[in-house]
Amino acid sequence: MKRRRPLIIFGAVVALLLATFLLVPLVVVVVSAFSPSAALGVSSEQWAAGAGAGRAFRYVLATYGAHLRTSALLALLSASAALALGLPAGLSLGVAPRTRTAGALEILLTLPLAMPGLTVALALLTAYGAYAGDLGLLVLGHVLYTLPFTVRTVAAAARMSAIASALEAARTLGATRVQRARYLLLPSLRRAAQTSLLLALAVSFGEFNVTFLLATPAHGTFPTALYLTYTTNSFPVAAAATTIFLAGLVPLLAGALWLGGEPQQGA
Amino acid sequence: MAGGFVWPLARLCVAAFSRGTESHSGLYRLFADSYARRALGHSLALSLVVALASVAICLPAALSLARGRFVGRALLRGVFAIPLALSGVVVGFLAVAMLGNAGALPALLHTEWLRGTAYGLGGLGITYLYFEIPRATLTMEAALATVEDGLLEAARTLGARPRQLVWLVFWPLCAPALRAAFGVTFAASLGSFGVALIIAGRFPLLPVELYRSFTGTLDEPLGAAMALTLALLAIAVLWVSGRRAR
Amino acid sequence: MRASIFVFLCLAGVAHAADDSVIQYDCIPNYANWGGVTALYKQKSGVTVPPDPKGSSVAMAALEREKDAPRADCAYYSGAIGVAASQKGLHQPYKPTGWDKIPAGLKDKDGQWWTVHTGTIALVINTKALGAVPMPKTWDDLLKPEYKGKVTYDDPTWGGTGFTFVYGINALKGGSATNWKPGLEWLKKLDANISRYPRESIYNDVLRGEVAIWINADGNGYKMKWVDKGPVEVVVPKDGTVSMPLVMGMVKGAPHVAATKKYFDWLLSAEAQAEFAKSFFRPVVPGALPAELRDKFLPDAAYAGVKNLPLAEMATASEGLKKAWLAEIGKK
Repeated sequence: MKRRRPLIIFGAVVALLLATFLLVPLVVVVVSAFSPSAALGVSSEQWAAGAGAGRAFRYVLATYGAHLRTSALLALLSASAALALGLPAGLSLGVAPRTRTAGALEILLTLPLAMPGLTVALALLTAYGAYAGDLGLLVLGHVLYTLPFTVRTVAAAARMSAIASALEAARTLGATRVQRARYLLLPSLRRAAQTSLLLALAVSFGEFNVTFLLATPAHGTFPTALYLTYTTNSFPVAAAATTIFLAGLVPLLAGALWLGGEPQQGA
Repeated sequence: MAGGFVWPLARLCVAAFSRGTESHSGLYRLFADSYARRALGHSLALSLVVALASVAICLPAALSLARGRFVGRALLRGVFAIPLALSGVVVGFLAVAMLGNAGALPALLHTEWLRGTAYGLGGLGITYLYFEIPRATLTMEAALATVEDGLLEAARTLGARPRQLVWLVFWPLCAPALRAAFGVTFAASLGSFGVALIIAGRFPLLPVELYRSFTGTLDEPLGAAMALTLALLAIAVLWVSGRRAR
Repeated sequence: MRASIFVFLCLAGVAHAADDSVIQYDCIPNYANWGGVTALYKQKSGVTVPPDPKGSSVAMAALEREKDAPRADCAYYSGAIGVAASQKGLHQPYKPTGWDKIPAGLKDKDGQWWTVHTGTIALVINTKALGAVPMPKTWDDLLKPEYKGKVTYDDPTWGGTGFTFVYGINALKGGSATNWKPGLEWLKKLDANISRYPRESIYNDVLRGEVAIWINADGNGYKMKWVDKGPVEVVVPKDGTVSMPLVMGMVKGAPHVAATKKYFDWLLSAEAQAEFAKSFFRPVVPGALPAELRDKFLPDAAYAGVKNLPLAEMATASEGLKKAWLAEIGKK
């Protein structure tokens, strides 16, 4: 153990450097959203002068507030749908013996994650182009991305807690169906459900590809609004929008991590 | 799942083989057209370089996070999780904010040579690394965490020399983790769209050309062919790297 | 479960705003002050016109794809592309109140399309990003090696402004609706100095100094200079340039026809026209440009060499010219 010490320390230093590389741009953007006058390449005096940060934030909320609401609604709908579908699916995968069929089903469920988001979006557009812009189609697109998280998290929890044998034991001891659900299933899956719900909310809230291609202006999401601010608005507005986005996203991620879910690959 | 995923994919395949208003199928034109081929080549080359680089850079960090116990480890992992949930456009914007012609780094460091790096090939690579570093680190960490702790110790007790330790014990233990991380990062880079949309400039990449074919020039067969090719390549790489990892 | 319940509660209060709306393709908040115009309309009528980032050609492509089940009510285009959309049968006629105030040549006789305001293709220059290099005065100045990597114009297959420039420079260099050679040859020379062909608005990039010279509508430059107070100047090339009518058309099969008609009527009102003028696009209704805004434009003399382009011919040539540009420049 002693001889590995230097390697661990070296690795920790590398990790720290990498984390700095990941954090600095975020900090710069957030700081410049609050103090547009900082020397951060802000050439527009309109946003730097007087009114300062508050003005950029107010502009974003006034212009893109509907996008923020749509994103919140979409995240809520698709995360709940993913939970409603993923809880039973994950449970049965976790309880079932690892047969070939179960394996294939698990692969099929996680396939959307392996594919480029654009491919999924384009496939949906090809098949259901007539419904482009409908909230339902957006929810479908987001469920494809959030379901894998729910299924995997719940299945893993079910396997870990060896729930199948516990249920069997409770049944032979005479516990009713309701009792088994109330005292066994719920407690052992609660944390997995909470974690996957938060992850699903985060993934849906940050998703760009599917909504960019499938949404009409009536249901633009906040990431598409971010794209609008990046291309057409001045830097403080773009920075303020990004800050609002991070303020929505980071608590969801932190909550999921805190509950013990491992970070997953996002969109 | 069938209606929401399998059926749309089937429609996409049909579209890729159809001709539309052109004389050849989308798939044929993707490989016959030198520009589309070049975009595919660029995408593959960029993904390969970025995947290799991120695996190499992140191995020590992953080892340390998986095997070490130190203060702030949980916080570090939390920081690594953030970029995973950022859309590509946000990462692209961060690149412009830091390394653009009017970026923060050239301004804060008072250097000229960094100015505008975001739009060059180097900038594209660095920006891809931004979202691949967390992927590579966390994938390798997960794989390395399952390695039996006592194996190295046992080999050493049995009298293995350092070189033998590295090549006969340590490397075979790490290799599956490296392969898995390579697969995951390669597939993610290949399909990344938002970053390229913001900063790719004059450097054609397949996801952006796909978007252009589908949205701008209304060439559905070509766009479908590109989308299908990207998906098949990503899945193939993931499958090979994942299967070997077991 | 407490945590998830809490999250639900936080978000459940957010009901979706499903009030009255008009969907307009190509409604970029910071282009021609659509942000201000739509905010004012919301205030006046309660009707929402949400922002949309599509350029003219992309808007037309989307309308074509959705022909059987239209999602949009109307679209905003650079003139030629709007006319092309009419030619493809994507519009339905409507003549808004105040139709007679639109000068002849800037509207379709049946009301398939009509001009809402006009711009002029000019050089929008960020002087800070340009640095010590002298300001270009003519189109041919842009070919000089000192502008390498500093010049940008929008991808003409994407937005209408880029297309108007490409068609316009061809006309200025002696080409015609059927002979694109002079323009394409000149653009090939310019290609050496081009940093990129952006597909979406780069207003922000020019304002921040990411881009030094943007060939675009003069109004965008004036807005950067006077409203956003950036280090920006507008140069109208001395060897002439072209004007660009920006047009509206109502989509055939629009989901909200009555609301769109009301919206169109309002867009021609003095109030809306003055609101557009705040971003320095010239109102189509004569006399709607307030004097204090007029003084912030370059003097009329600078605009003496501005030509009007034949929109119908331009529209007919658009598909071919876009393909030729892609083959000879965009995909090189």
